[in-house]
Amino acid sequence: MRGTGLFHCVAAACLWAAPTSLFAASAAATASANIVVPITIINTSGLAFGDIQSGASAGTVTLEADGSRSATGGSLLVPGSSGALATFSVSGDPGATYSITLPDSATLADGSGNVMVVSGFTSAAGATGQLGADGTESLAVGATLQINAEQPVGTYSGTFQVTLDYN
Amino acid sequence: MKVSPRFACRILGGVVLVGLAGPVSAADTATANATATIITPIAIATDTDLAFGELAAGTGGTVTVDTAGARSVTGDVTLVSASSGAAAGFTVTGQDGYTYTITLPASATLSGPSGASMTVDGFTSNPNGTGTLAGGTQSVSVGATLNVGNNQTAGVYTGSFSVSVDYN
Repeated sequence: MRGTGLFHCVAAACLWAAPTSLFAASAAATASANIVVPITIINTSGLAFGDIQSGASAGTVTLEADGSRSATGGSLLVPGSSGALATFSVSGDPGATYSITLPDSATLADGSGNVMVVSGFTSAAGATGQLGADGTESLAVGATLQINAEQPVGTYSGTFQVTLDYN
Repeated sequence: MKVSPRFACRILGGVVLVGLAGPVSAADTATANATATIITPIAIATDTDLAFGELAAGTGGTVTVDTAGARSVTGDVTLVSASSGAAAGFTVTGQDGYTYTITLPASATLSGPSGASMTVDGFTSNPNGTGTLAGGTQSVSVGATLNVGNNQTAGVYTGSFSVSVDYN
């Protein structure tokens, strides 16, 4: 008899998981009330380093998180072109803080076998962001492009990922 | 104490429902594009040197070579018609369709015999100020004005000047 009782018990537990179960009006209701809005991140614009002249020596072009662009080494910026930070729209629980996980590196390719590496990703918010009172926040990300000496002329593109999680 | 089957049910049910609340902390990831364009470096090469030709200096004046190479004088300077002047010619190469700024010197000095010198100024270019690299190349011609002194010492005078180009 005891074994049969336990069997029924397991069956009832399974039913309990269904929202319509009479048994569900217990601690489970409190738990669902605590569910926060899931954090979401949507990419709204890409990272653009703009036009660059490659020289006889390697160089870098950095897009700072404040949007400024600078070059080092043998690489020269083309003043008429501008860079742009990647921007993301974050939404979630109002006022909540979240961790920002940036990639270590990404690779840009021209489709003809030539590549450049992007590293040094930074966000304007640092490693931790905070959602506004309306549950949204915008996030800007910059990085450093490494240009090889005599980098072949062309348009290079690639992708990178940004991950957020509640703290 | 003997646990009733019903009590056991509550515990099991609670475990299941807490499990449903698990996705609360789910992270989210977005993918962004990153782009960069390497363009052809801008370069300038000299094709033709600036030449004012032969002239006779009287009490002084100026000789101007325009960007087409035509000469004109002011003051008491006489051109030797058998000689000809020439505008300086340059070829600029770079990224197709891009514009660039042309920077000319304010002046240059030509040195002649026995420490004599003349000043060249009034540099002009065609195109002037800004050029466009249609097809990735453009020719730039440069003229200027030579200032000839009173009884300027006879001889050959030479000097150099620089023209700079940079992408806008």
